[in-house]
Amino acid sequence: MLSLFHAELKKAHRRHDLLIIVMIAAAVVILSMGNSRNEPDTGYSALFYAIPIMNALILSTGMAVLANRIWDVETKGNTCKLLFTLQSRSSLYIAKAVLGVLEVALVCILECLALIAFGILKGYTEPLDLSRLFWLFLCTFLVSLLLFFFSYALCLYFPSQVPALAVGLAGSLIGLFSGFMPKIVTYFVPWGYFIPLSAMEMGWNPETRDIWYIPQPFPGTLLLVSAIFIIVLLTAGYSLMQKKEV
Amino acid sequence: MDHVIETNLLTKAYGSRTVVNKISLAVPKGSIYGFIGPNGAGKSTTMKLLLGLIHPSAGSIRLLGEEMSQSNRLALLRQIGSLIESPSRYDHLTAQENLQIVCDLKGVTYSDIDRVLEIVQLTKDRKRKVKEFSLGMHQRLGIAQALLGSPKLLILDEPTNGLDPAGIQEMRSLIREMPRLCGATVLISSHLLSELEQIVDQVGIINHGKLLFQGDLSALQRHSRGDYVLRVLHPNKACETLLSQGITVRAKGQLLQIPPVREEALAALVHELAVQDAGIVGLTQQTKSLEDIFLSLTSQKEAG
Repeated sequence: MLSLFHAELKKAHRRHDLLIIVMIAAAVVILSMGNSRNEPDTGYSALFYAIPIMNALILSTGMAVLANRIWDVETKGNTCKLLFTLQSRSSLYIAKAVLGVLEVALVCILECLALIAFGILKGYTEPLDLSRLFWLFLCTFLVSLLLFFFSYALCLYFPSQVPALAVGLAGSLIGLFSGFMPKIVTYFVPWGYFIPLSAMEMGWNPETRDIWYIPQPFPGTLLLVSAIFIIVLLTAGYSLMQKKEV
Repeated sequence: MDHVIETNLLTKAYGSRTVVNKISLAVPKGSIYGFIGPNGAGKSTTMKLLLGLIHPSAGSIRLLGEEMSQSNRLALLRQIGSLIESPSRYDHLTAQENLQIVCDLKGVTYSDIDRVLEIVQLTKDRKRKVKEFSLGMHQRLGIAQALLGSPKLLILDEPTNGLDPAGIQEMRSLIREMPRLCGATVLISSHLLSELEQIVDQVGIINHGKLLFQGDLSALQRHSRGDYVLRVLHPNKACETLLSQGITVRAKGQLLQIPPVREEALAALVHELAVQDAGIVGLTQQTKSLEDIFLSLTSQKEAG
């Protein structure tokens, strides 16, 4: 299995996946910084609130792009008829899934590291709640994985890579808008799961224009739903790979 | 093991459409086996069945002396090199990197890359990105991928597709040398019959999913002998003699064309013509090109 994963890493060479991963994480954090009040005493809370919203906007498309790049090399190079004589379909699926999981994890880790770095650079006086940081990482990681495996399955289902990208783009907009809908609506829009899974809610007074942040209870149920979705999508993708026409 | 490929009534149907119909291939070890048929005859489907890329509807496959099953499929295929239709490649990588990926998957050491690049004459282009390659170079890279790990059998599906005449000539020479260079048996398909005629020693002819002929190329040519052509000084005398023997003749000047007859009968005819003083100057037998044989075989079977 190690040599199969090594082959996947070789395919990723000169594909600039790392650059894309950095760009995705940077876009999320920079937009979050730009769209939140940088008060030193609430700086981290503001980011814990803003980052999930920007995740909904950026990561839906970002995950589609990552999944696309991982599978697209096989479509463009017409390689399945060679690969399926050298390795089992399941090993190919798993090797790509593992690479995808690592790439998604890297996006989430970079986001968290950027949050810490910005906090230090901006001189936030609010203490960083590490449990909230881990919460942000976990929720971003699980929802991103859900979106990644959804795009991966679409790439396997359609001979063209366009549908997965189009769905990712549409998902970005739908996901973002679902955040401003009643909470029950957000449960039906997986692209927007980042927002109801957020560690912070924002309250504001329209008259005084005061803003404050309210810590949220841990959203165990929605996290569990996300995990179930991931398993379903993994299984669906696996099945699509087994049936893939050569 | 006399045959590296043996299929028994191999069949593939998509719904009511039978694409491969009870084919029993037998590819002798060490041979270059030409698998010939027009587009849509079932060549690629048969090759995909042999490589386990699609599942047969019926029949069985023996590769390298072993019955192919789901459990031993990959182990068998690691001893086989294949190039199905266009070559598989990663355009953003160099030729060497492409081959390294195949090495990883085949469990072959990278040192084998030098050998195969040498064979396909891509050594000096090993560090060029594949997207900069010409079509002929892509095909050669595909062959190099197939040759990694010194396979016992090469399955090549229309490897000259899309190549210019020089590229076809180059590929033909390369394939002709395969048994000598690598000791591999080669199964090669094409619809360009004239191209295969020069490199294969065994032939299988397929049309509409059915195997119409299989055997030595020379047997096929014997099987489909052409007319005899006599050149005589006195065509009228010769025609009278032949007609009196019940032989149909087509005359054109001094050239008389008669249908194939057994050798004993031919000897008797020549003797009679000599006795009648027809003035025999020459006797040749027309040999049908593989193209003609193929057309006659397919039309016969279709008529039948």
